[in-house]
Amino acid sequence: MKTILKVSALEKFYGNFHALKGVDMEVKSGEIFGLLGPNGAGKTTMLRVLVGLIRPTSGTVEYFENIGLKDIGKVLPRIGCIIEEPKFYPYLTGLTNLKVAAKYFPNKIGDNRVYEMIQLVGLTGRERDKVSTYSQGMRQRLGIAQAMLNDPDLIFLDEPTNGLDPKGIIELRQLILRLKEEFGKTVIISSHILSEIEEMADSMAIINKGVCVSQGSVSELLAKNTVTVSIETDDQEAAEVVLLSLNYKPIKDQNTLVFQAELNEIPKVVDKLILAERKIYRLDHRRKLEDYFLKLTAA
Amino acid sequence: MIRILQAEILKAFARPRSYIGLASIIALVALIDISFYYTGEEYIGLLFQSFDQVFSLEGVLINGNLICFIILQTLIIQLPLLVALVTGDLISGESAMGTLRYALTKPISRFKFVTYKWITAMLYVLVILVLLGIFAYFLSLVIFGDGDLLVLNADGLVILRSTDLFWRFMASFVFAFISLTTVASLSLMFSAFSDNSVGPIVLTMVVIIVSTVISSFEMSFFDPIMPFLFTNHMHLWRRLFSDPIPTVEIFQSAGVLILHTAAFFGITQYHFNRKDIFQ
Repeated sequence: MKTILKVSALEKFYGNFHALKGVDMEVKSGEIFGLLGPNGAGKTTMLRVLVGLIRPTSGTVEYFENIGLKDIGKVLPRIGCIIEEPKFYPYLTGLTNLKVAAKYFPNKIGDNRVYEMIQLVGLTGRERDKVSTYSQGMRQRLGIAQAMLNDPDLIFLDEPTNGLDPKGIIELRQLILRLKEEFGKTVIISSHILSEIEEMADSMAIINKGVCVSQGSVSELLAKNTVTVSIETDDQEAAEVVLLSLNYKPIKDQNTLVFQAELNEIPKVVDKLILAERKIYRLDHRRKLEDYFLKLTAA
Repeated sequence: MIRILQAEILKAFARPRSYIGLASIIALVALIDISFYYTGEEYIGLLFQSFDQVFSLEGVLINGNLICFIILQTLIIQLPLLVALVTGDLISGESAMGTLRYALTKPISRFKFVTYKWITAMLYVLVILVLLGIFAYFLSLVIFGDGDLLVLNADGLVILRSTDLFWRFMASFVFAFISLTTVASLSLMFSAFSDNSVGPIVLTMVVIIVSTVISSFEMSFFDPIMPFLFTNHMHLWRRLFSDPIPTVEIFQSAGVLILHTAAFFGITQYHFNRKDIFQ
């Protein structure tokens, strides 16, 4: 996969405040990339730099393999974005807002494309209502419609599920996944919600206090992590002996043995229990990425 | 590029506040016309009372030309506020609404963005003046009829023939356009520095009021800055109703105003091109 975005040693000062401290990041084409971090970590600053709203103090950004930040004018026709919550002209209709946005692109974006995007985000029937009457969820969807108007290669979505109800969150996640799967878009999502990134992203970077503390594919990062395993067998005492022999420290919890293990060690545990002729009735595990995230961001 | 201008015009003219100025002009002109229709003779009598001992004035003094002249004198003072109400909001309003960051993530350079905002401001000034022209000049002529104009200025009483007035009024509208362009550019400049709508409007008015007050002080202390105060040049349209017209002085004033406009536009561009956009 091609690298669609490469960020190197990116720094940003706001006066004396060091908002970004030498961030490196690489995003591959066609993936959903999660930018994870607690509130105030520097995610929005990062996105603002990447879409040209603020200038970095130092560092480089390379878009589409050969375009630098100095040529942001060449980048903007190929990107779409929602930075913070989507904002529109409240006194105009959703349709007019999109038509106004379309007029800023050098290549004429026709009304057909505008209606296509309204349909994509499920706003058909409400497009002639003023934006002031829209719910937060509808505004988010309208935001995605405006971000998609120019058929961009790269889409930036800043905390896209903020303020949405559970139904709205599910719908928006499905829409974002469609952008990748059906339309082949590269999407960069920032969020402070770990489960959101886990569910949608292929790769992610964890950013905290302006520093990128971890980066990789979500599956790798998940694999790295300890999980809490719960196991129920026909003979819990015999199973406990097996686990102790493998240097785990199981705790009895009613009919279940609970212990900490690396995710990739679970098959080995199962093999050993079967070899010891134990019957396994139930085995499940809970991911500990949340702990990992908290550990990284608590420093 | 006409498409971007269309978008800017649509955004500006779809806002209810854009019509406050236009509605105010229509309402004020209508009120002045109505009051002159019923009590105009009384007003004119008071106005020329001091000349009763010197000479007598005969004929119909109240006519469309006089009403238009009085309306212009009255409204020219208020127009900068009405202009600033819209132009001071063109950039800061977008900032306050949070739409600025969306506009600037579209493929339009900041230079062009500011330039289109400035053109929109000029169009708004033009609309205001055209409306004023239609209502103050043409409507007054329809209601009160044509006639000679008596103008009281620093040189004394000037009587201008009705046949000599149309072009003077048109020239005064052109001069008013140049003046209001300066005001619009000033408020647009403040708008680029601000993230709220009220600040630039208030600041523009403060600058105009302070400059006007300084202009009114005939003290030598202020002499060095007098030629550079743009408000000092804004009232020069009245000299178009002098006889003879001080052409050089009027062109000089227009030049000073245009230079101010250019300076305000330049500062706006310089600042906005370097500004970090948070809103």
